[in-house]
Amino acid sequence: MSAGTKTRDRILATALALFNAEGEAQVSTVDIAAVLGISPGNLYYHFKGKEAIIEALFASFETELKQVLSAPIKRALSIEDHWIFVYIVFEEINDFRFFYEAAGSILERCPSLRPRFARLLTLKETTARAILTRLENEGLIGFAKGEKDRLAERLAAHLTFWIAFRRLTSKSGSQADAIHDGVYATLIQIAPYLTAGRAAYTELLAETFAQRSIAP
Amino acid sequence: MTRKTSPRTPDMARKIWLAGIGAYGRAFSEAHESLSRVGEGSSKIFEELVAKGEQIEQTVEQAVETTGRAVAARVAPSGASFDDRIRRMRERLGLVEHDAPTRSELSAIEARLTRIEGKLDALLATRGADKQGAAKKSAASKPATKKTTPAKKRALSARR
Repeated sequence: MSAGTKTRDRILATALALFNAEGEAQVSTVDIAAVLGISPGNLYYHFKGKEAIIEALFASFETELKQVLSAPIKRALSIEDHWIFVYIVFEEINDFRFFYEAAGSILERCPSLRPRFARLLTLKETTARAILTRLENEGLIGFAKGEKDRLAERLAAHLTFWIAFRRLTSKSGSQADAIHDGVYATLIQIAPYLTAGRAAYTELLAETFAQRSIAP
Repeated sequence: MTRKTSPRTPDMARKIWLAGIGAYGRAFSEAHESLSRVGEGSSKIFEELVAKGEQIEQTVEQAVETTGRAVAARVAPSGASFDDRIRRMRERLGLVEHDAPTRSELSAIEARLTRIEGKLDALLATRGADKQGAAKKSAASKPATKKTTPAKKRALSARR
């Protein structure tokens, strides 16, 4: 790896950390250069402005999330692995939360990302539908006509906006807690469609996720 | 995989599903509790994690009926921490990890190093046997091999 690529990677890592911590709007390229201890000119050599940095960050997020979301479409997961899967999707989104929190404003400045982000959201829906079909085939859940597609759509929306919603509504709590709550809120959405044992399922979820409040 | 195509009753599927969620909840809160006690020394925490892993397995086994026993072993294998499970899943999804290596990865590396050291020692030993005349000299210049003199050994262990 040349020194050039190294600096480029460091700029991206620092920008991501700053955007997530302070909010993208609060951070300028001069701030990023200052934190890195490089000159703004050096940063400009690698990225011609903040939008170029955001686009590069988006590209790597896009690659990773596509890979994660495609997994249950290509091959069914083991039943007991679904919660880990949901957890990992939330982790990915949490790592890129600055974008989700300011998507409207960022997409206005980076119009080329708009169709790519839209494709990611559609992929989320396709993944949710694949998982629901899998659980349906196992006899765990059942749907009336049209219900599955609507639920897949709601799950995609939930995956997209949960972290931002949680940050807007709650001041305390770690990021791990926010992800944990997101997994709970995902699993509970399936409860009304269970073919049997709905009370036991809801009870287990409440019990499982209440434990978090004991831990610091 | 055969277990995906094999017929499974909805009841069995439900048990696996519930056991998975139960194991997740426990593993998650255990991971958080032990995180808050990191100051106590890592070996102690490791022992606790292993013990808790076994506990989790027992609780899950109690929760599901006899048919679920095999399931529980798969869902919460003893000693598998929350982070380990997440990491393994990430690997299965083809994600590259940039974080610090896990304990199991470290011990795998350690085992590999030990094997390499063994091979190296063996190699050096055969070389020494080939050139018996030069054996003394090479032993003196390689303090880390088996041929370390007793005096040097004492000095090395005193330094530790």
